Amino acid sequence: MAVVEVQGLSYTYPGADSPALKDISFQVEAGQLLAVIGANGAGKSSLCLALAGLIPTLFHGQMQGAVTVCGLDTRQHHPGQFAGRVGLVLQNPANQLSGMRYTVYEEVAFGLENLGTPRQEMPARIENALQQVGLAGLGERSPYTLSGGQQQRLALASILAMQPNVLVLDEPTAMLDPQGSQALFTIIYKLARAGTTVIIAEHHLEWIASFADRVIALAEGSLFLDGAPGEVLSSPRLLQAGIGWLRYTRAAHLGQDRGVWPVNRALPVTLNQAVKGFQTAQLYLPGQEQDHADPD
Amino acid sequence: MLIQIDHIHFTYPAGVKALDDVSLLIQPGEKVALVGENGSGKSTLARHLNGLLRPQSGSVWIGGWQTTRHSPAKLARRVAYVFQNPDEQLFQQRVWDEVAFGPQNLGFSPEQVRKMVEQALELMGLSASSQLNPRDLGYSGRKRVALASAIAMQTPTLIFDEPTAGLDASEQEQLGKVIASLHQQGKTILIISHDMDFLAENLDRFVLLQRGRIVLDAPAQDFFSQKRVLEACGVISPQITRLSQALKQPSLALSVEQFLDGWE
Repeated sequence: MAVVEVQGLSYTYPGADSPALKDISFQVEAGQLLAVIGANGAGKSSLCLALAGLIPTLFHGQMQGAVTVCGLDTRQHHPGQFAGRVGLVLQNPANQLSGMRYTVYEEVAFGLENLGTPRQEMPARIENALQQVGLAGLGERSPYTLSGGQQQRLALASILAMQPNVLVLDEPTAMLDPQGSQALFTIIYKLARAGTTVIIAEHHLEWIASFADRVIALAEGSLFLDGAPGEVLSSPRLLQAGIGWLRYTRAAHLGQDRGVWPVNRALPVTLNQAVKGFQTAQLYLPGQEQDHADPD
Repeated sequence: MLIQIDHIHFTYPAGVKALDDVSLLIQPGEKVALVGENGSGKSTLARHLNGLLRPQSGSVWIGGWQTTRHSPAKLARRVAYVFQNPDEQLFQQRVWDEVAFGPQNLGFSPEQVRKMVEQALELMGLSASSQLNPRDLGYSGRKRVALASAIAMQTPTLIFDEPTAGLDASEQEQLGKVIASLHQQGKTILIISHDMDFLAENLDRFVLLQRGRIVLDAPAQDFFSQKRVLEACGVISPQITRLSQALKQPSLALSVEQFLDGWE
């Protein structure tokens, strides 16, 4: 069953000349990990805001079409009714932290208090969330003494503690090192396998290729690709959209011209696919155009 | 301009030992990557170069100037620093004013300032945005304004902290060209980043920090061949280098072009 349904969504910010989102439609099934890619300004963040119901209730402007999340139409419900069902992790954690709590522990408690979570449930949920993001032991610190990467993880913990059905993340790895990024993708992958619907806007294509079930690509507010990671991430249309390719994909594509990658073989989007592809391509003479099985 | 860092130590007031006996010599015109996990001391080290931080022992020399003997304002003539988060450094109402602020403070004439600003805006692809408010630009636009503000000061040394974070592929490619152009002008460039794909394609020398100490300092190819050290320090090698390694290329590739040249 679709947990998220976006139907003909268009949106223009107040005072803006052109729409940030243009006639976008897609559905997301429960437990799917969906990645949203696009150049800066393509509409990723606006889409995240619309999925969390902040567009149109908090951001006014012109919205057409409908967004339904967990059966609730975002035009007809207050953001408070989505809290607990949909969790949004913003790009800049400084915009997310409440600014009203003195410790990391209290910051994570903030959302739970607002949801009216029974008191006796709270400690376990808070500690579990801090543990998940690797902040266990920092509960007594002030959120404002944390590094950017730690603040980003705190923002995630605050949302995870609320155990939302749908988790929306807007470029959550921007301030994380590779370990932090890997840990984050591992967390959201596990959540998705346990049934949480996860939608993540992200630039880093290698994590997407490894973890996402499905990818949608935006350009100038329009959705122009929707499919499996292997299919979307190797599309030449990503180049025109300013999204670019993984180095693996680029190497194989340029390798076609040089006769080291068969022209009719799918372009790789992971290290494994590239390794296998280049190894087996060596077995064939350059220019030979047999139909090979996909390396994976 | 020679940068000489000599046995420096730095511990934050809360007791975190951020730099533990670091020495580093950077020749004029070098392109150096400063890498390591969050908290390894990269930013602390970089902030010693423009005098924002001063070593508790040891010394830092920028050209003939020792940082402890000059104000950060004076050191700004020699070292420009771009923070990771542009919002920490943008405060003017117009892009033009923001970029002009540095050169004006360095005492250049209005005519010189105009030229410096125009060049920097042109290089960062911001000429058409000069009259806009930086706040009306997107994150990557603000990031480019911050870079332009540093470039406009025409200092011999530039330090960029995570310049590619939040930039998309075409913006990163543009930044690569900017770095090549600054290098051609003879600038010394120091970049703090986790983006190994970008660093391998654009910089020459890699310095790896772990818990406040330099554990590896080598040219790019030698650096990425030290798999065990890199793993221990949480560095994930560039995509193309991992592919090159997995396919056992005799000469480790740092770019797609090098990989294909070595494969034929």
